[in-house]
Amino acid sequence: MSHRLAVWTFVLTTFVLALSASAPSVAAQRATRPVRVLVVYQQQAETQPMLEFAQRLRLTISKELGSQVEFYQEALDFDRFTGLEQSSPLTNYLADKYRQFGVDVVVPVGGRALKFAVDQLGRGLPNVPIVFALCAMPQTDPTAQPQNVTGRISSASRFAPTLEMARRLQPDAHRVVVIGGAGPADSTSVAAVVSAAATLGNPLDVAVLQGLPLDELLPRLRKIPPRSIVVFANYRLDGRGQAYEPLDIVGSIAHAAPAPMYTQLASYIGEGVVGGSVLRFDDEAVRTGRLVVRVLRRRPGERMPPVELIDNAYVADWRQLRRWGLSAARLPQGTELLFREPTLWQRYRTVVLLTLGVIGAEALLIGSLLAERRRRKRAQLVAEEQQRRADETRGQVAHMGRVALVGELAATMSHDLRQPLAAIRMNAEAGAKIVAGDSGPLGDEVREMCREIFGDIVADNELASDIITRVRALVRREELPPQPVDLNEICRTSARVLQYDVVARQADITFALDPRQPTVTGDPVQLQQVVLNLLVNALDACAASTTPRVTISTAVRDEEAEVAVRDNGPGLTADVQQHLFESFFTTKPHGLGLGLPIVQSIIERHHGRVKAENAEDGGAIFRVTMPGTGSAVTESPSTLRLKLEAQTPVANGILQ
Amino acid sequence: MTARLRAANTAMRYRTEALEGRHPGPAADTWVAIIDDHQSVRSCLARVMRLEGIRAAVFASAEEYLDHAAPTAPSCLVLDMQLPGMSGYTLAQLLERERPTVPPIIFISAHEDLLASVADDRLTHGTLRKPFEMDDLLALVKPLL
Repeated sequence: MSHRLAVWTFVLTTFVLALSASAPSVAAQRATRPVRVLVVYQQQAETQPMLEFAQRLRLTISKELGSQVEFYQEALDFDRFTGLEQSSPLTNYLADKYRQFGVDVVVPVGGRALKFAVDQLGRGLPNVPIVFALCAMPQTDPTAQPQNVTGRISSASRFAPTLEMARRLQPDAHRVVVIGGAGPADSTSVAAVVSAAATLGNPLDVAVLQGLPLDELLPRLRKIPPRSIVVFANYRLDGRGQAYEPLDIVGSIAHAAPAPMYTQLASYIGEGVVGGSVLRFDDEAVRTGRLVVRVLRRRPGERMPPVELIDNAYVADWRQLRRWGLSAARLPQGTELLFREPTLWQRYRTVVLLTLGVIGAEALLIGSLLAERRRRKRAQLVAEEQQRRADETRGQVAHMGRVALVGELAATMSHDLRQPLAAIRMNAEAGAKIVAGDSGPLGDEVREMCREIFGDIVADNELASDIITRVRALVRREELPPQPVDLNEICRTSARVLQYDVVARQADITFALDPRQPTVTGDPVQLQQVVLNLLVNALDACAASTTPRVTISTAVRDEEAEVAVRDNGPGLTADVQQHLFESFFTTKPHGLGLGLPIVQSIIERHHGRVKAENAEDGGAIFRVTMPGTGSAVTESPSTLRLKLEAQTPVANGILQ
Repeated sequence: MTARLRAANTAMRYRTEALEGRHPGPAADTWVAIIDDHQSVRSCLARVMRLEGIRAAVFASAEEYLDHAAPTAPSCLVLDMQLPGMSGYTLAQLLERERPTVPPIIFISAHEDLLASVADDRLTHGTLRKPFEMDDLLALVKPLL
């Protein structure tokens, strides 16, 4: 509703305005047709800076206005077509062209375009608002413009900040060389530079190279002293009437100059110019466009917005600073530094990061794969090493076991051997004595004595041989192939080996051997070590007892064969029980602490287990359980009893 | 039959022979007791005594000696220190405690340290480490007869 009201108000107002302006057709048409913008260029419109300017201007107006906009352009190229500015045919042509068509705003670009628009075109398009762009004082006087004119204008002293910048960068410069063309625009710029130079706090010498044809200008320029500030004012027309787009020649001029060159247009930066307080066409197009939109949106009767002053910005070319050895640190604050040669890192950061990322990801992948592979390999190696060590340790332990056992048995062996050896010696001596004391033929009694003596010597020799054979079997290094081993026999032999110890300690060994003859498959020597170790431990454990007693029992239980050695010592404390099977753990003052680890190692090799527990009525029980291989012979309980009775003397140290 | 059992049997035979008088055993008043669990040592010593005309009786253990009821105490004991069951020194202490008189004791052993432990004992007449010279034994025994 409000929208419709606004439309009606607008139509009504335009109608009234149109009546008063005696142009009813244009006003009537405007309500229905797109907004029309006529851009009038003072120069050609196809130069790069102008194309950029035109494009940004169009974009800004279309975007900000929000309605359909039509653009028209007239590039008058006054520098080359001198005199056209006052040409009546051109004026009439353009006036006719756009009067019937209808134009909502005229945008003259450049001071002379503005003059043309106001003075000539305005006669054909009366009251059409004019928004000028890229004009400069004092060539254009903003205060002398009609009511329907506004725009953006550069200050007459626009070169002063540029000179400031130049002096900051080149403190030792003592001369300003101004380069300008022969055209009117060139002249105003040159004049602006000269006046700006004059306003400097510490005025410099100013030399002007103006209006020279390019082929004369460049050699002249090359001769100027190096400690100069070169200012490129403008160069649209040379002295011979040759017109130029300054952008096309600024590069060659800058490169010919033996000193840093400054300019007033951002477009020239990048062509070899150091920098300056410059007008940026892109910024300027946007600001001009916005001003145009404000003008188009004026309410009826509203005055035109005021003329705006173009605000230049400090811009410098980093490469040129490098070229002239100027310090970027001396640039005025807020200077935009262009073309800063990025470091490899800056230039290729994205590529580098991406590459690094890819490499990193690949490396990570490869790394993780390698790590995984290595981990597996290591785990495998560790496993192999552990296996190898375990085997080695087992071998070592078994051997150490034998060695330790030899140590344990050394005393027993020597005791055992001493007895028969001593007896042999004494018998031999007695025999010698008998023979020496009897000079006559040997009597029956002497003969009988000698027979007895020799019999005793033979018997003692046999005894010594028995002991040696038994010990040699125990310390034999090589393992025997697995064979059926009768545990009962192992127990008996072990007790026999230790009989001296048993007697010396006044201990009592009791057998409770299973008549089913528990048999396992394994190494008989190793198994004998096990039982010997357990027996020695048991004897040690009950040594303090008043009646030391060790019981050896065997049993067949399910598929398993068991040997148990029990003592009537103090039993095992919890602490001792916990560390029993650790190497070098011992409760004995002179023990090696190898006995039980050896026992465990051997039994594990026989796929069995060792268990230590306390007996209910005191003392410790060590149980060795191994997979049984059945019974060799089945004995009846009565046979067992007989056997046990026969074994009893063993406890008393008498071998069978 | 092993050497040991044979030895035990021989020992028994000697003891029996001595007691039954079939054997020229010790005289009722002077005799020497030889106590050693090793048969050949025992019989060897007995033979040497016999050669010298000294009556001797042999025993395989301390218990065997204690069980033996002799009309007179022996002139001396040739006593092995390590015996099955009661040790030689324990026997000596027991005799000292339970008998009015204890005969002089000649301790014998294959182990020097055992002998050293009784060397200064007042019951000890002498010590001999096996194997010893027969003359050394006779030198210790003869003065006691």
